[in-house]
Amino acid sequence: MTRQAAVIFESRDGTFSLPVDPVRRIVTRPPISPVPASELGLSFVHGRVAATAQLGDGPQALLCEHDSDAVTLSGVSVHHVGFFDVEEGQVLWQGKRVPPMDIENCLSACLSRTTSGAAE
Amino acid sequence: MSLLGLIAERMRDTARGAATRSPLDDAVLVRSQQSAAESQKAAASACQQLGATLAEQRAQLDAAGDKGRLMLTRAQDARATMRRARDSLERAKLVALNTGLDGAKQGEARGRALVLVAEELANIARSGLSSLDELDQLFDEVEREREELGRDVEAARGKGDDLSQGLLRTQAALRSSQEAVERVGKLLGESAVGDLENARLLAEVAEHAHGLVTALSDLSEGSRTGLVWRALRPTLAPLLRLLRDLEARTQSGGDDP
Repeated sequence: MTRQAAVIFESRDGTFSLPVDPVRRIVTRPPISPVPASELGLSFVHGRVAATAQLGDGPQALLCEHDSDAVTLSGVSVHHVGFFDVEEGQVLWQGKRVPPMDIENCLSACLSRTTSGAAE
Repeated sequence: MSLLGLIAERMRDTARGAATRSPLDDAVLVRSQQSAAESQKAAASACQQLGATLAEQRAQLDAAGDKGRLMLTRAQDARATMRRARDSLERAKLVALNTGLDGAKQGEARGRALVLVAEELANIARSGLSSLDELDQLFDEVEREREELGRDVEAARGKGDDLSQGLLRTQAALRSSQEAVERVGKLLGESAVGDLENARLLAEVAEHAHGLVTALSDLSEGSRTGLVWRALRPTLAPLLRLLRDLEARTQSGGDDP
């Protein structure tokens, strides 16, 4: 069984894990400037302008590095940061498997919804 | 007969020009007037006492209202303090999480201790935040109860105002009736009764005589009337002599009937 350093957090879609490597800081949920016709917004966190995905109404945000860009996953509630066992690609937390959050997929989903929304 | 009834009857007699009322009736009238005046004095005194009690109650309700407002101010201060404590705990939690993040990035071998300490700190912050949530709920309940108390105090104040107004009306009515009774007293003083003190004494004698006659009648219904007479004779003999003298003087025209 392998071990992984990860952040466990809650979003409106459930509980997810994120490896610590791309996570720069855990911050208070920042104000988000909306971008017209887009589900992504912009926020200013730790001196950087970051593309921001609103994942819920939680009090915190995860400032991440993704392909050299700053990305903020906002509106989450961080439960735990530490080392966890991994089983079939999923972190075990409190006896349950926690699915990983894929930043690329998350951004793509937001962009696809934006595209389809713009097309409508 | 009531005082007013007696007065009305007396007025009718006076209007007819015939003094058909006996001096005893006049005496009863005077005594009734005096009794009414005394009752009115007692009622006026009770009204004053009630007014003082109402004023005291009003002051206490005002004080309760002031304390309620003071409680509100203190609750607001406490909530502000709680907000600051919440902000501090949120920041502490965030610092603990980021410390854990730094420890986790160092790898389990090097960063485990740091992660554990950060986790413990985060748990303490969570516990503090949870306590603050409970305090918030308690304050909400206190606030609700304070509002209810404020409404109750306002209602009691309104009832007190109603009572005060009722009392003022009662006092005004009492003053009017006192004036009326005083006028009746003056009229009686100027009437055929003449001397009010004599009238009072006359009424007392009549009352005692009535009581004596009633008691003697009850006694005389028994079989041992001789024994009763012997027992009462030392007391009643002077009374009988006095009554005979009075009757004799009346018949000889020595006094007015």
